[in-house]
Amino acid sequence: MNHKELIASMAEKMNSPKSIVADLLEKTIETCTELLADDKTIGFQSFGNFEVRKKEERLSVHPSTQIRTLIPPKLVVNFKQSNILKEKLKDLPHHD
Amino acid sequence: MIKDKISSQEIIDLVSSKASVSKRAAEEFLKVMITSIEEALMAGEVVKIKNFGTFKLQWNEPRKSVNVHTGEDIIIPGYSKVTFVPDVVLKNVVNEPFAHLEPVVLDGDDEDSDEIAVDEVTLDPLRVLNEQAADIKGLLADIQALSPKKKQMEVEEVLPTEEVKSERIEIQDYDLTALDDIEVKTEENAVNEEKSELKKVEEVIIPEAILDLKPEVASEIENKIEYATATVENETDVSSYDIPKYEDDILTTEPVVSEEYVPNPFLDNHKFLKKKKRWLVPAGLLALVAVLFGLYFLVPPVTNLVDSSLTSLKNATADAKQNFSMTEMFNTVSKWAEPKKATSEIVVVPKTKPVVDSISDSIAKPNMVPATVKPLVKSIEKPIPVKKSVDSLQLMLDGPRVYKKFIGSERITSGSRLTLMSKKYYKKSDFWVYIYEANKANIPNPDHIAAGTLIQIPKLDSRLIDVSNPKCIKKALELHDLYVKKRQQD
Repeated sequence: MNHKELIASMAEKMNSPKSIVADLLEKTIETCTELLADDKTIGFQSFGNFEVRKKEERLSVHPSTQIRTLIPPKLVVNFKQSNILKEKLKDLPHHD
Repeated sequence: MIKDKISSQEIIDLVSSKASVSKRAAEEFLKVMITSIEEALMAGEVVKIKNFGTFKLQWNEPRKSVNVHTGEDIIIPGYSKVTFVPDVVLKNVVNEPFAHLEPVVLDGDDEDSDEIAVDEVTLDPLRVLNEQAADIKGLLADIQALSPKKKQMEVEEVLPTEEVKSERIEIQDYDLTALDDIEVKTEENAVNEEKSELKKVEEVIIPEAILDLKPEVASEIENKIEYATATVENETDVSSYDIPKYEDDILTTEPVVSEEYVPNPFLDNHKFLKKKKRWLVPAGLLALVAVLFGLYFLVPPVTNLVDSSLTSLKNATADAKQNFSMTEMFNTVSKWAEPKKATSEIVVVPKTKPVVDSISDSIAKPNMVPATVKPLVKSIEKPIPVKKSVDSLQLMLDGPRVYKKFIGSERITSGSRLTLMSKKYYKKSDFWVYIYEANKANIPNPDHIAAGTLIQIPKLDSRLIDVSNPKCIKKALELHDLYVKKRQQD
């Protein structure tokens, strides 16, 4: 399901035009991005938490050339599902 | 978690204010959004949200574990898990504080140490050469002391030839002024000779076998070499009569001398030498001329004493030869001589090639002494114009940079970085040094630029900021080190 399909399905549920839904979704994403950039954790009830984690700098060694490279630290977004979502997923038969 | 956590309610508030919709509408929207995503995930789909990221279901296999308290084996059942992969846009926005950092390769120092090692290695043979030259000098001094009065003159003549021989490779591929210096230092009489004659002497010197006859040649050259070469053919006939009784003495110790006895064996020998070492051939011919002259003009008897001393010298020089190959010598000599020259920054390597050409020329016409000298002179003069055509990029890198044109300007805000500007305008953050250089007047400290400072982005030559050219990167990094370390020292 891509962006458009998501908007379509949401518009159907809300009984509102796609353009409004698209606009709202865009604003929501913007808000979330700003909050995350500000190093905040966002919690969606019954869905999960978005948080920013810092990956520390590390030394990587190229396996074949043995060249050592210092990888600088970086900030990444991490998502952890809530327990409610986890319970819901338990009912799901696995596809693999 | 001390981090500020934004709850669903706060998100609703923020979204409603931002989209200027009622809170109720925002709340409904968020609920629908989450349920939509969940449903899609439940259906086994991948949910992709533009500029945010992708949600995916991941199946974790059941696995065995051990109960920490009881030690019993337990099986953790398999479960599905929602994973989120942030979009590039979100990734970059979040990582903004560390965006200026780039991976650093730590093994760069090895190259430098290798270069130093190479320098040491190439200097070593030179030192050995000098030592051997000193040894030869000492040996010659001994000979001089031992020799009867009659031989003294000859030994004095031998001394310079030995000196020149030990350093002849340098002379060959170096220049004539250097040749003069060596001559002046080592020999008083030979210095008086004219340049062209020196060259001839040098050519004559090359074969060690004819060494004993060299003194005669030297004196001969002082008289007139041109005349000598012109009359060579006549004298070969004459000398063949003179040689025999002299020959018997020398034949045992000096095999090369015997070749000069009959013209035909000489030709065979000429070919043989050609195979062995190309540059020996013309030299051998010259030496032959010298030998014939010596026999013709001087009194034949040459004592065994001189012979034995000369053979010992020969051994010494032969040892020296074994230690270094020709290429090694070229390297050493060019490196050693470099600092002396005014044009030291120019690569010396091309020089050797013309010299080789000149030698091959001389091989083509081995009988003509002047012919061998002329190309040698040319070869030394030739490389000079070649040297002057220096890499234009290198010039640009080394020369001072002038910033006249600007392609843009940026105002510093919190979070602005020169490296980011560099990446934006030059496609590589390493080139920030050029922005700094252009704005030096406004930036007292490149690490802390006051907010509100207007930064002018200079227009740089595309060759200077060629990302694919390691030279450009290297230069930028050098400048980086220069500025950053300067700051740290202050």
